[in-house]
Amino acid sequence: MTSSSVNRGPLWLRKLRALERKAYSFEKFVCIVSLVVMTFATGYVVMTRNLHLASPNYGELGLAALIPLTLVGGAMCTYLGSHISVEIMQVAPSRFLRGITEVAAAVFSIVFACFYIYSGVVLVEEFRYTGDKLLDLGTPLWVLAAFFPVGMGLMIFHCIVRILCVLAGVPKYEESEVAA
Amino acid sequence: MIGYLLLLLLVGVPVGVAFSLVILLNAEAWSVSLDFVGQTTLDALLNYPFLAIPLFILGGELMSRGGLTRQLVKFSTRMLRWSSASMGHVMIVASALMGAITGSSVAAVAAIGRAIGPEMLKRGYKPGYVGALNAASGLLGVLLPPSIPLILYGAAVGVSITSLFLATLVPGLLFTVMFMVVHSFRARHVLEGGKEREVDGDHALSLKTAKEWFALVPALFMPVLVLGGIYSGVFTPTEAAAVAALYALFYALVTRSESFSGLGDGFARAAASSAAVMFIIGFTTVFNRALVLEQVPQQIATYAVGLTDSALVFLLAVNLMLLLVGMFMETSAATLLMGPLLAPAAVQYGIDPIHFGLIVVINIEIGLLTPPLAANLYVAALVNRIPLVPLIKQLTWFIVACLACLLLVTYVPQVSLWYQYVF
Repeated sequence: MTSSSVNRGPLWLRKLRALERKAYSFEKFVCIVSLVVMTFATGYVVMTRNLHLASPNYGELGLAALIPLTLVGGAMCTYLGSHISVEIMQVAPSRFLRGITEVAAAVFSIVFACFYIYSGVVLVEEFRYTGDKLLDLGTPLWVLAAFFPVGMGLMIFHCIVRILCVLAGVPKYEESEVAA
Repeated sequence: MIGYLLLLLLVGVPVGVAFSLVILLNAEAWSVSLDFVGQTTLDALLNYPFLAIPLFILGGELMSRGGLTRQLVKFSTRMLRWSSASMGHVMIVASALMGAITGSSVAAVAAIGRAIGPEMLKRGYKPGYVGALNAASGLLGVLLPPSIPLILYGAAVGVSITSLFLATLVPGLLFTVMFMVVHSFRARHVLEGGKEREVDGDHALSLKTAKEWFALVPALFMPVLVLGGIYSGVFTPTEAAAVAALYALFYALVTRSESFSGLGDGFARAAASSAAVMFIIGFTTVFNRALVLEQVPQQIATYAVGLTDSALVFLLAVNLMLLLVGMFMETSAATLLMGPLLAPAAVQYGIDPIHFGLIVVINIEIGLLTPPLAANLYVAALVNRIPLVPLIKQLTWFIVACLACLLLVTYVPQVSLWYQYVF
């Protein structure tokens, strides 16, 4: 986000957006680490199998990394506005209509995220109780399920900031940022 | 339910959220337990073939940043310079080569458009035509193996992804040839003066010294590595994606063609694109599961068989429906939803699920060229900085070519099942 975008609107909103920017940095870090893990873990599996080296199946780590990439990455997409959606209303001529639909989309996303936070918490409790793990390296499933409340919580935060931005009449994104 | 879904999509709710929400808001009626919807998503995501999607996207991004895409373009330029209107053919062949590595249509449009679009404009092509050719030839990114939508179809329907990759080889080449034929006919009309303008000086795509020729080897080795590795059984399609990404990363590091921060940006962009696709995969599963629990695919199969005994009529109806779906839905979501929904009916008509997979994917891919949801079109317009209207005008020829190929693939199963006769 460029400074011109962050420095618009009332002080409380600027502080909130600065906090959102930090949340985005965290999400980006998690997603990049996930990609690095899945690339090297899968590459390592190919190497060990073809060189006949005795080694545990580290490919499981790559598979597990799909969960943070999807759930925390989903929150990152909410921040960047890069979710795949039908963008008919975003090109509507009326600014009021665009604002209304943007708020509505954010509210629906919050409702959706609440469902998954609830289900994620249930899953964490369930997996901690049963001790379920992935087969090869024994990655605990509750760790993966914990990304539901984390990712969805971040998604709700971004949606709330988006709603506040619309209500305050402050543009959410700089064009260059969305393109990036 | 369809009404609510359309409303949510129209409002601009992300596709994954919309498909999940219509079920969650009426969970009891769909026999879905709210406690365990997360489990459904988790089960869907912990699926090894899906790992290929972020890895192929990363590979494509690193190829563009590291300069491998540029090398592929140079090679295509050199090989095709004998032909008239060669730069258009270069765009088609380079897109095909890119497709043989990354498996993504939009990635091919963005990478090849950036590299060849300006060269075509310099040579006097109409801007609208450049964008149209870029958007259409981007389809080769998916129609030639490897292919992300075919991975999705294979995983969702439960058929061999390697067989799907083999099957799409001939249709992919058919589309390549068809686009080249269309370009040959159209070139005279879209070039100022009827032929390509000479570009003076030593332009960026020339290959003169032995060193420049030698620099092509790593780029040309990449499709050999990916496809050779898959078909020789050295690695699976998922592993091939990781190998491609590692190879592109290694190349960028060794040749120092991109800085560390640039590579970091590449990872960040790939992460954002991957997350958007994986989000749809993870959360449309709830919708799919609900349909399966209510036996909707079986009902569709029974209904279709009741309407007509003819597989030909069924395929025609499927084509019309999927073309429509492709116009309104994103590729991954459409493949994940329509594949499992229609495949049982196709099997009842005696249609091979591999053949049917190609029909599904080609139809939905053509949707990438047809508004309102036409990702290739928008990316081509963005990358080449061309307004949409002249681009759409020029696209008609390529859409007709696509439909001709689609009919051939649909009604001549041998085009996609050729490998069963050869091997």
